[in-house]
Order: sequence, then C-alpha cells, then structure tokens
Amino acid sequence: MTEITQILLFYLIFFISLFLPINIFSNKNIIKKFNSIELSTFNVGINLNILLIFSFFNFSISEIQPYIFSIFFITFIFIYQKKIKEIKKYFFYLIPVFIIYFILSINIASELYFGWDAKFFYYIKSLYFFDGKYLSDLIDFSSNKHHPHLGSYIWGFFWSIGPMKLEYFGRLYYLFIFCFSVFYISNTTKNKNLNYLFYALSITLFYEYEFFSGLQEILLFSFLMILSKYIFIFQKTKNNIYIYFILLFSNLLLWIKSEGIVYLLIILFIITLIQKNSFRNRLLIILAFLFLCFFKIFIYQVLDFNLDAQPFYNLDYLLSLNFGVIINKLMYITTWLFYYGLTNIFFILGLFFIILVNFTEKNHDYIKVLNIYFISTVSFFYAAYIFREMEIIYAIRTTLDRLIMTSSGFYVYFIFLKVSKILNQKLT
Amino acid sequence: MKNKKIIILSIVLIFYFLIKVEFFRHLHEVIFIKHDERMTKVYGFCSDEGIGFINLIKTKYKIKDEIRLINPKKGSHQWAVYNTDHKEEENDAAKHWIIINYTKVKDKINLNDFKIINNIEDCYYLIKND
Repeated sequence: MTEITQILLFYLIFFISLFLPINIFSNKNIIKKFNSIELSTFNVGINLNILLIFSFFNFSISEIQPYIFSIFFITFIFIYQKKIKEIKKYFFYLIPVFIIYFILSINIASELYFGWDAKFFYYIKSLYFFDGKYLSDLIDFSSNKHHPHLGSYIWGFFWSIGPMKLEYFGRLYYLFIFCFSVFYISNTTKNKNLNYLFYALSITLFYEYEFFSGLQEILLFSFLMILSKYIFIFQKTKNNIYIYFILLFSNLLLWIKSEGIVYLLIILFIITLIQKNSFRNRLLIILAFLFLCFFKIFIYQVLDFNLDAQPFYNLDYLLSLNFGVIINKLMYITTWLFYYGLTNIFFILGLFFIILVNFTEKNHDYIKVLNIYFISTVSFFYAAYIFREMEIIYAIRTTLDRLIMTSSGFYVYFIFLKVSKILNQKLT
Repeated sequence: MKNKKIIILSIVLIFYFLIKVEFFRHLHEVIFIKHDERMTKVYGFCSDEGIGFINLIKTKYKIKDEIRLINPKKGSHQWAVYNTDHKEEENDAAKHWIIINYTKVKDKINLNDFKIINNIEDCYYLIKND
C-alpha cells in the first residue's frame, strides 16, 4: 500500500512541477496569449534544462535536491497562494493524465524488468547519480561513451526522492512526461470530450511496457510530439516565443540519445525553411542551434568523454562500401522498414495522412514540414544502417523498431488533427 | 448526441485498456507482493539472472565491497551488483563472488579457491581465499 501512496505522491510532485517557473495563470500580456497547458509545457522544457545544467556541476543529487525543492515549493506557495480555485480546476482538467498515469504506473511497478540497453547503460548511469556521483565520475563506467546522460540523471533524481527509494520511481517521470505530452497534443478540437477520446485512444493503441523499461526513446518520442505542435503553432502564428522553446526541447534531445543530434538538425532545417523572417533572424537561429551542438562538444572535452563513441561507424568501412553491398543493404532496410512501419500505429497512420494530404490539400502549410521530416528521418534510417559496420539483419532487428517508434512522435499531432476533422464530420 | 457517443466510446476504451494492461492483477501484485519478491518473480531466484539470490546475499551480509557475478546466461547481469564506488577494472580482483547456476560454469571455477559462505540450490556466495 505504501508503494501506491508514493506513486500518488509522485504524481503530485510531477503535477506541481508544471506550475513553475512561468506562472501559468498569469494575466501579463506576454503570457496571456498562451493557455495554461501550453505554459506548462514551457515549464517542463525550462525545468529539464535547469536539471541538465545542474548535472554538469560537481553537486550530487542529494546535495542539490533540498535546495531545488525548497526554492520550488516556496516559490509555488508565493505565486499561487491566491490561485487555489484555478489550481483545482487545472487539476480536474488534467484528470485523464492522472488516470492514465496511475494505471500505467501500476503496470510499471509490477512488470519491473529492464530493456537490454537499460541494463547495459542507462540503469548503471542512473545508479551513479543515485549514489551521489557526478557526471565526471561516469568516466569510470566503460559503456558511458555510447549514450548521453540526461535521461539517466532524471531517473536518478526522482529515484532518490521519497521514503521508498525504489528505482522504478525514477522511471515514473518518463511516464508522466509521456502522459502529459500526449494530453497536450490531443487538444486539437474545442470539444473537450473528443480530446479526451483521442487521448484514451492513442494511449490504448500505443502503450507497451517495453517503452518504459528504462529505455530513453520514450523521452525523445514525447519531446518530438511537443515539438511538432510548437512548429505547427509557430507556422500559423509566427510567434517567436515558440522558437525559444523549440530550441530548449531540441537541446534536451541532444542530451538524451546520440541520435538526438539528427533530430536537432532536422528541426533546425525545418525551422529555417518555414521561417519567413529576415536573413539575420535565420542566421541567429542557425547560430543558436550550432551553439547547442558546440556546447555539448565543449562539455565532453572538459570531462574527457569520448565524442567519437560509435565504433560501428568508421571511414575505412565507408570507403570500402561497393555498389553490391549497398544494394543488398538497401533491400534489407526497405523490407524491414516496411515491416516495422506497419507494426507502428503512428508511423503508418502518419504516412497515410501525409500521402493523402499531399494529394488532396496542396495548400496545406504544415504538410511541407511533414514532408521534410519524413524524408529526412527515413534517409537517416537508411544512412544509419548502410554506413554501419555490423551484420545488417542483426543491426536492423535490434534497433529499427525503436528508431521508427521514436520518429513517429512527430506525426501524432498531425494524425490527431486529421482524425478530429474526420470525426467531427462523422459524429454530427 | 455527439457528446453522448464520445463519452460512451471513451468509457469502453478505458475498460478495454484496463483489461489490456491487466490492471487489476498488477494492482493486486503491487499491494500484496513486496518489491524484492516481484523482482525475484521477474528475474528468478537461482535461475535466469538470479536477482532473488543476489538481493538475499546483499541484504544478509551487507556487502559494501565489489562483487564479482558469474552467470552463464547470455547478456549483461552486472547491473545487479554494480558498485559505483569501485572502478570496473577492480572487478577481476573482487573478493566477493556470487555464482548463479554453478553447474554450468564449474569447469571455470575451482571451489577450493574460495570459502563457501552461502549456498542455495545451484547458487553460491563465495569469498576468495587470500
């Protein structure tokens, strides 16, 4: 029973984290343009970037936690002391998130097993942070070089709070982020019940315990969902605030998985193409994205971490590739891409609607974004396996399903938009 | 009418989802079975990854030093005994050894080199002789 209590308590902590640092009920003009849930996603982006910054310093989690929580709760009380009604209303508005979080957290608490990568890399890294070690100590962990640390840092951070220090409590934050992101993007219509239906439907179709077995792809998936909606709104409103938050979330991608850099570059490419701003503004955005990449390189060099950590990619192999090998690899990749694509509901639906809209709604602005995203990600899949010096079927079968799952996050919002349009017509 | 349909659909979905993720079975397990026992159920006591035996030894003997884990099962098992206070190179020289499924690795390990501290089924907790 105590575990259930702590699961519920953790929901409250995660829920409160949505309220700061930006006051989500503020009446200030600059903030009034956004609704509370939008502002909450901004807060998620800011808070996770703050955690990322803390992770660079030699402060153990147990040292910084009391300060973080004290500042957080004092600020929360100070800002929201007269907003009890609004908080209550917001809590009930997010009740579907709570219901799904509770159902799935019970599933995680019972299943418990780790995915392969989680056992080899992420769990051990989070153990370092849980044990009060610093990012620089990860140099002692031989498999550290293969993956960035932010997901494990978050895992260790939440694992160590609360009276029962069980590892899966750290993973519950991944679950919360997932539930909250899906809820955020399921707000596609003015009909609240229809939005709730989308929410329940998408989680029912998508959920598998494996995604929460300590693997990091679910975080990338969630952030890509948020980014897709930001890009959609930015394209419509041209509100530059979204650019800042696109940058913040792109930065998180970079520190969660190695392939985060690919998604970061794809998003940069999309932003520079759709932005109708001056050359100067575009240049500033490119410089900001490049700064994020160079900052990572800088941190890795300071900590003496290996940047070239993918032993399966090397120039000798690249030069040795001949036409026959490439054709052979292309055939395998295409076959398996087709197979795994069909087994992923969001990938297949996303592709279906992209094709449909390309033929039926040629003036649809957002379709350009999706076309670029789809072509770039699929090209990335092909390049990743063609240039990889590894037995092709083994390489594909161990990773392609997860790559497709991760990338499909970007299509979910678009699918909701299209389905809501169809349902609106059918249900009236 | 439209809202009614949507609400009915949502309720049906939630029920389907509860069945899909076996919510009530899992809820029962989380309430009535302790975390360590659930871990043992997933990873085995003296089989599979032998987490049950490993946790028993770690709790009973309060081992703070490096532990060397030998498990013939394919895959990584070090996560279960990983000690962040020690460098990985030190693992070879570890004093404390845990062996899961000794029968399968008996050609590689001579029990005479160790003091047997605990043995359940085919699993051993050993301390290397000086």
